[in-house]
Amino acid sequence: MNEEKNVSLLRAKSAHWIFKIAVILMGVCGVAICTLWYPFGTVLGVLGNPADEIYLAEMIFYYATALPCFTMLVFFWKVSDLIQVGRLFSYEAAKCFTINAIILFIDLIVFLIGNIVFYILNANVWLIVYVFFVLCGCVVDLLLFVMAKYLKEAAILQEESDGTV
Amino acid sequence: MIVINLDVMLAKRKMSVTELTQKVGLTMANISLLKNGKVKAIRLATLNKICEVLDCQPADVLEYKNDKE
Repeated sequence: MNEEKNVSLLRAKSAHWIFKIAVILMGVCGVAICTLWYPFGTVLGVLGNPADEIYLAEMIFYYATALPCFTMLVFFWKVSDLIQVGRLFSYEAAKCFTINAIILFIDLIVFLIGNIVFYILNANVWLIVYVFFVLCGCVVDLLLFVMAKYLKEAAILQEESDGTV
Repeated sequence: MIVINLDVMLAKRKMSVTELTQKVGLTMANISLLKNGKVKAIRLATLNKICEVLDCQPADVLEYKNDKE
């Protein structure tokens, strides 16, 4: 029984490292998008002088909508810590996923509306691309909500199992 | 509620809790939870082992008490 527990802990340790690497890679992608794509993509999309006020407004908007995504990474990091101590099936992990799902949902709505507004103002030629990102984000959001729901149920089962001798 | 009377049987068999944990294969923490009635469920395999070690019947260690009384 102790051996089983040790094997389980070893698996949890490797799983938590994989999760942490995934979070770091997502962070790196996010930083790359913010430092490379947003400045140059926005310049290409804005008609006229890049020093236009609308360019600045767009940049502020995109960086503002990127911040919640980095906040989500903090919660995913917390989940990896829970995986490390073998507490993935807990209310805490379910709460992290729920919070991330809500953050992403609000962020996607704001991102979509903002891009539509900039498109109407003739300052955004990338609307179709960003709409595609929003759709992908919606799929991820739904998955996060589903994960949160099932992690909560798993937490209940884990609690019952922990209370069984 | 179901009450687990391990202390009575341990006294009858002149066995310590430590000895019981070693023979049954449970941790001290789980035995403490059993004694204090803080477990939610007990596996039949565990009950089987306890009865085997204490040489008793399940009714000797399990007792039902009405919460209203």
